[in-house]
Amino acid sequence: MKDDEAGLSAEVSVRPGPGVNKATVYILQVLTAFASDIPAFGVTGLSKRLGMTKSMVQRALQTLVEQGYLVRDETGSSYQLGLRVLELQDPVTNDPDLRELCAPFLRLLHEASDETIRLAVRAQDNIVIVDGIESPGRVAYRASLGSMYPLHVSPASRIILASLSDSEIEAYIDRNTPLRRYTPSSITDPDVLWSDVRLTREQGYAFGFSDGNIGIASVAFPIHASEGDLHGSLVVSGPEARFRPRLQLLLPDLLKIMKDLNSRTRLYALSPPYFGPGC
Amino acid sequence: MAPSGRTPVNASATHIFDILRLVSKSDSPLGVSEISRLTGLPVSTVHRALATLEQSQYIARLESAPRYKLGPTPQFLTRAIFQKFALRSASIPFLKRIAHETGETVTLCVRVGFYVLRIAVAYGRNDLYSPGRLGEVALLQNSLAGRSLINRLSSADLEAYRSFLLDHYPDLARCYSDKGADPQCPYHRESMAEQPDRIAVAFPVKDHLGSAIASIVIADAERSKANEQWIERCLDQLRELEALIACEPTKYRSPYTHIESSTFVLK
Repeated sequence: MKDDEAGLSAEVSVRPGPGVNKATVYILQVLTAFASDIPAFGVTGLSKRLGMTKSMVQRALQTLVEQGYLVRDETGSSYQLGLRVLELQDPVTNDPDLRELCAPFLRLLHEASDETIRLAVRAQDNIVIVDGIESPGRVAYRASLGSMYPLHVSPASRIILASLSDSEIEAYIDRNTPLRRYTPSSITDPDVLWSDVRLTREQGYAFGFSDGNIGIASVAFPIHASEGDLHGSLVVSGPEARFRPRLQLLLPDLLKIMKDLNSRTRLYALSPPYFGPGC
Repeated sequence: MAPSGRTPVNASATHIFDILRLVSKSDSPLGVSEISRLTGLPVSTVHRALATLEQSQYIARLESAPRYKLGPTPQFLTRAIFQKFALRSASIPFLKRIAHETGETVTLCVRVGFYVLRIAVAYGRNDLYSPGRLGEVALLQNSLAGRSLINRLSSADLEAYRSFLLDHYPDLARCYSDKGADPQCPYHRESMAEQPDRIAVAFPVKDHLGSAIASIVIADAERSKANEQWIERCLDQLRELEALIACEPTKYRSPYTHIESSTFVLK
């Protein structure tokens, strides 16, 4: 992955507040940029990514290298995390769970869309909603925490389905034939389901219109774990009349937020126990 | 004091990192006056530094009291270091297979300088025992993984390690020796004094040149179960992993190979 990606979403680019030393804020911002699955950054890449001038970046890099938190990489032209970072661990703090990892990004998605956000994880042949933020506007439905949807119903589920291997998907269909209908628009035809899977795999997100809940438009995104599997999915939903027209326009912003989320969640493997069929 | 010995460019930055290190080493969350006392910095400076650190989530304030502990960001940085080791992803399927076959929890520790760093784990069903955290760093002789590697250090490396100990850990320099060990043996076994029916086993992972770059560790297993067949099954997985590594040596080289071992000192 190239390091010269355009600017980060708001959570990561922190603007210095009053009474705070700006140079120090920039130093921490530069260091934080390395908290992703991108192995190294050059000055130009950092400058573009963080919206800082090259000289600001260079000053920050100098201090970080002095401190030992960054070192030059093997090529000599880029920088990578230094081993001294390993000192900054305390024996007490646990690994964040998925909800903690995703929380700041749920907020960003909510701010960008003004709609309801839901975090879902897989539970065998279903997904279960484990966190969310509700829209401030009128809500047509409530997907409460703990609700479950089968893997062929709702875009949040189908994101997870599409991430499985072809044989696992075939096995799911076999186990759940005939595919149950939840709304008039539910996918119940295996062929239609397969083309949805292919489309989802290609574009990296899934739309749903009244297929999990009637009158609701949604777009769902994958949350990647480190070994090529998914932690779960995130879905943005709203009443079709209000949300559907805005979807295409919002999509680039939402995708950018998801990209930042994923560069963080890719640092973690799916944690045990893993609820899969036969486990 | 910055490790390079030069005058730091930015004094406030040094304060920030001194405070961050203090908070991370502390057994319990620290308040502003404690931090001020321990660092010798005025309270106002500490307040400003804490505000900056909190903003980027390097530290977090407790909900219940005006005391500070580490925030999530340092963890993400540690995790990002794991991801730099291609060996981590490559070894996970093998760790899982060993965990499945033996029922025990298996971890991978890579060599960084004169230390080992635990970067991957696969849980076994017998596991009621915590294998130690991912990210834990230990001096070679202070960890099972490290001890399994000491015997396989080249004589040059061993000399360098001894100098390193003299420079930085003078009271440890004579602690470890494993005179009875056969450097050709593909695994390293240790008994646990407090639990005679348990043993710990570590399998050094060698690169295409035969240098030990990491160790696969089963920290706690039933002695009666760990017979020759059990060891053979682990060794089968180890050999497959080593074959994989040998195919793409550059890919599986440590991303810190170019860093001089003696420059990395953990305090």
